Amino acid sequence: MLLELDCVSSGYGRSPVLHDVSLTVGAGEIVALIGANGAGKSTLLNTVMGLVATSLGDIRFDGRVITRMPTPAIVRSGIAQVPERRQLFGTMSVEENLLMGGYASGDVSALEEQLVRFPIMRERRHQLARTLSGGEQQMVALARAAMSRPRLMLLDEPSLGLAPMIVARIMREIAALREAGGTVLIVEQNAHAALAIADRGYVLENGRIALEGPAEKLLVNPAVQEAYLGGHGGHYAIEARIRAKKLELLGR
Amino acid sequence: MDTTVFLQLLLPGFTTGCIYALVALGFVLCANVSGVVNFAQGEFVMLGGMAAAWLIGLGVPFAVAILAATALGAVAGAAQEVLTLAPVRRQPHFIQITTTVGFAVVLRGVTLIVAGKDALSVPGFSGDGVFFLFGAILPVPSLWVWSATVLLLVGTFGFLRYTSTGRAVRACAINLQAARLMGVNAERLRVIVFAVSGATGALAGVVITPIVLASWDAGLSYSTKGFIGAIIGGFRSPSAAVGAGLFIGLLEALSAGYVSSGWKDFIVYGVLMAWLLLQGGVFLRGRVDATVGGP
Amino acid sequence: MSHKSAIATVAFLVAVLLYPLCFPDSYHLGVGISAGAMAVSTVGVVLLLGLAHQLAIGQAAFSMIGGYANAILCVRYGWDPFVAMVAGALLAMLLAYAIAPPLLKLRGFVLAMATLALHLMLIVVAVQVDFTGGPMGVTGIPKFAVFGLPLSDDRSFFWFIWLLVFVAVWVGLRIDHSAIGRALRAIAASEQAAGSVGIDITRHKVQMFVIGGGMASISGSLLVHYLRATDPTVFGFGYSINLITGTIIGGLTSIWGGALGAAIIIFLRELLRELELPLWESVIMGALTVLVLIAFPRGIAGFVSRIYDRVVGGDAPQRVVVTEPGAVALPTVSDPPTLVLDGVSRSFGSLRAVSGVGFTVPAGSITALIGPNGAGKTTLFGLISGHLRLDAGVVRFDGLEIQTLQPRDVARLGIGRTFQNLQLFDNMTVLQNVMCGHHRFGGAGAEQTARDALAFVGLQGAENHDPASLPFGHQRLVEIARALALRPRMLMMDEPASGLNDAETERLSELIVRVAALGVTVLLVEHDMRLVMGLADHVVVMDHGEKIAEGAPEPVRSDPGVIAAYLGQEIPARAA
Repeated sequence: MLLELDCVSSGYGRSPVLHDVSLTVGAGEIVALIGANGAGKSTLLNTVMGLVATSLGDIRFDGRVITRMPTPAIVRSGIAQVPERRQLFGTMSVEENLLMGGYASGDVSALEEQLVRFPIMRERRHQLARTLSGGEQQMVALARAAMSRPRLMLLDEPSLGLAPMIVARIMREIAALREAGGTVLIVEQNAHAALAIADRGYVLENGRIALEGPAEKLLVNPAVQEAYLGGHGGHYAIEARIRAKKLELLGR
Repeated sequence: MDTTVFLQLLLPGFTTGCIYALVALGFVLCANVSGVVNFAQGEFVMLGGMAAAWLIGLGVPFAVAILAATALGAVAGAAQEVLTLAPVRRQPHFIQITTTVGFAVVLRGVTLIVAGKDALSVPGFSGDGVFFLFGAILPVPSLWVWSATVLLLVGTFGFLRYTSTGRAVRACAINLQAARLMGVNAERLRVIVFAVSGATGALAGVVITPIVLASWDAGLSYSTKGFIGAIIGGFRSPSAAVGAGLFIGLLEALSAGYVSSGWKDFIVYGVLMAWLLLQGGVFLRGRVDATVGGP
Repeated sequence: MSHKSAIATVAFLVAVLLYPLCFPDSYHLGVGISAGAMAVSTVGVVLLLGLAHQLAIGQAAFSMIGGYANAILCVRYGWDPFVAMVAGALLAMLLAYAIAPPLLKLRGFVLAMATLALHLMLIVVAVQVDFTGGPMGVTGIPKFAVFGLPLSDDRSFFWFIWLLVFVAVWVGLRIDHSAIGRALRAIAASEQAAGSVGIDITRHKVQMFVIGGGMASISGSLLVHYLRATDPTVFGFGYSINLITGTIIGGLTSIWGGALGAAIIIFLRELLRELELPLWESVIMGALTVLVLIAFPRGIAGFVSRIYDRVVGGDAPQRVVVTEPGAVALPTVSDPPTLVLDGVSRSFGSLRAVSGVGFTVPAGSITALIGPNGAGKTTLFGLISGHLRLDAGVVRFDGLEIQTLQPRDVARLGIGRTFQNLQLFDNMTVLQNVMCGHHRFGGAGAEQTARDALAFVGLQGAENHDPASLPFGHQRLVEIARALALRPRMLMMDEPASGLNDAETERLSELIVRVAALGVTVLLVEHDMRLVMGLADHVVVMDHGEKIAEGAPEPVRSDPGVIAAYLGQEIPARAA
């Protein structure tokens, strides 16, 4: 396994977000992590990157424990994240954004490859990143992460705020990463988009893994919908108890 | 208006404006990378001037004195970040700012003890003659100030624009979280930026000393004027800060010439107050606090 | 009065009474007089800087006004020094009042620079103008006298000055322990949350600026009567720095600390002079400032208070217990309000965060606002509570248009709110935090209301705790209790369940039901669907800034548009 999370709990200060999460990503796989917002998906990625402190459990990358390594060392070991909402350096040019992607490795030789892969970037190379459209910005964010030639890419909500057409285009780019031998862990609220390109998926609910399985199976599993919008299933006993309490106290 | 008189006022103002511009640049760089406005910025200028004058007074060769004073500025800047600011990083914002005021007071005090109460003078590095420019008479050391300023500005902007460390500094200022994701070690960059701005200030202090005497209590004036430049420049853009710093130098010189040298500070501070109270919309909305002030 | 206050008062009185008897020589009395003069103004610095975190570092400007007013009135016009002192204080306060509103809108370092610039401008005026005596200043200032009764010996002047210090401390303590003191701390901790409980931020800052200006002016008056002369260097930049340094060393957050710090600064300065190390003054002052800020941010007063707590045991914090909510009956709302939104829009740059949203929160209902990430829910919350301005549209609360109101005025109408990221005042105890919620009703009854609110949310024994020391779930309850202390007619909660475990979520939902049972209209933004679907009477769904559905929970849950918004559109599978 390229990435292994072993019973990881983590969170911000005294507020735990992830509870006992175990997850694996094999080399060459696309793994989707889906769930409603607030479930802890972004926290999981930031925990891997060392930006959120792990309180329990271990994270291994390529067999090596990276649990308490500083972020720059994790980046150098071969993991890159495309953060939520792109987080480009808005007042830097497209090219400078890409160069920042190679900062940790000190190797910017991948620049030409990225410009070939995304011709639009060659065109807009000297334009400020904030002047690009949302879809173009997402491309730059992908290319920026690819600059360090990472062995594992973590994508945080790449579809957020984008029109469906653009989402399809971005998802094709991500699928192409695997064809090129890359490994991807993609976090999405948009379950349909992510599962469509993924090999396997995990459903995160309230900081815990609620379901896992092959992507095609998850797509048709009614429990996925319940993870987002609730339902009547057994593990929603809380919802029923809340309703009962309300009836008791409010009479409605 | 007599053009020669005007230029005779304006060009020396440009010389002091260069120093304010460099101080303003230091303010903006430190604020953007660390979130703290460094009230010790002008003390680096004082420190450089005093160190160079003191060393030259001891008979140290010019070149060595200039290098040593600049290096001292770099060390002082780095020491400020490591020893005083890093430990209060998690404290409320006003405590961090107050800490820089405390550090400024220490720098003044140490200089006073080492070099004494008297103002020190230095001969020009290439003579104390004068030259004529558009009919205005200027001291030769002005040329040193101008060229040092050009050198430092080109160096700083080149560093920010074309080196990977400089790019990382800008990246931290734009989006710290994303910069960390790129593997940037923000703590180390802060030390570098403080050292650079300490060295810049100190070198500015060295080159201005043949024109203006160096004195242990001169830093406050450089801090306030440079700070005004940084504020009027908007505190985000290094080049706007440099421009506004130059403007403050010119404004000061023209006020001194056409009004009175006694009132020049009143006019400069008055312009700041008027600007803040009437136009300072950015500050009124507190946006700068969120970007410069916050993490 | 607490034990600590009583002990401090006794220690203060004993020290002030005994000092002139132990050190009757004029040198030591003079040192004591200078210390007292400074202590009057450091109390003002504590109020403004220590409590409200307003970095006004140019307080010496007001000392200068007081000092010069006295010098000129007494020497040129033969006024009685006491009357001149009062006149100087009034003049300073008037000036402070005039410039405060625009000045105090500035924040942080900009405020620091503006107040410093004001001070430096006054110095230029003093040097340049003949009326103030120019660089030579004014000499021949008489000894202090009260209505013609001269305080001819230094000992009586000493006692008089320290009497004034005592008055200043008393005023400071009264403010500190009142609703205003709590409001100042609230402003320091979070202006956003302060506004949400109805605190008028500008008004309280201005009050402290004016009071601090008056105190600084009196301090300047006293100093020039002791020096018998004044010139522009007396009130220079160093004077401002000494004020700040003294306050920091004494203890920024304690009124007593301010007075103590002034005394320490002056005695330290004299000690260095006696040791023939006057040049070391600024190094030591600067280094002490930095060291105290790093090691003891609460200064000597905070340090002593902690030692006292350790030795005496202090008010040993109780064990915090969480009980069933609703243990105490809170007043009910007889006429639950309705909230109506119509065509509400707000853009940030090119991003339309909220666009043309309209819905009704029925009176007395529990209404949930849901939607995927980035849908604009929190923005909408800010638009209702007055923290954000809308571009277009109307928000009606009980028929009253509230979209142009400031947060404090929205709060005063009885709209309480909690925040997505907890916004507790971390510089106050839990009880004081909740008491802040009562601000719109003034100081009386705040404590009882706060205790009731804490009992209602089911948090017992937490009153004297520091909120940051509580577990996260308890902190959420404190924030809800604070909003309840406002006696809200409507309660808005932004993601109250985030970060809670299942048991806490269930308790929270019971609490929300009990709040609704009081007749309070509840509007919540929440991601935990178990909570939303179990609790809500009415659900509004947003996506991309627009309302896409609304209705009862069950139909909304099975609405195809809602499902698509959450799970994404079907995308041609394996499109690659």
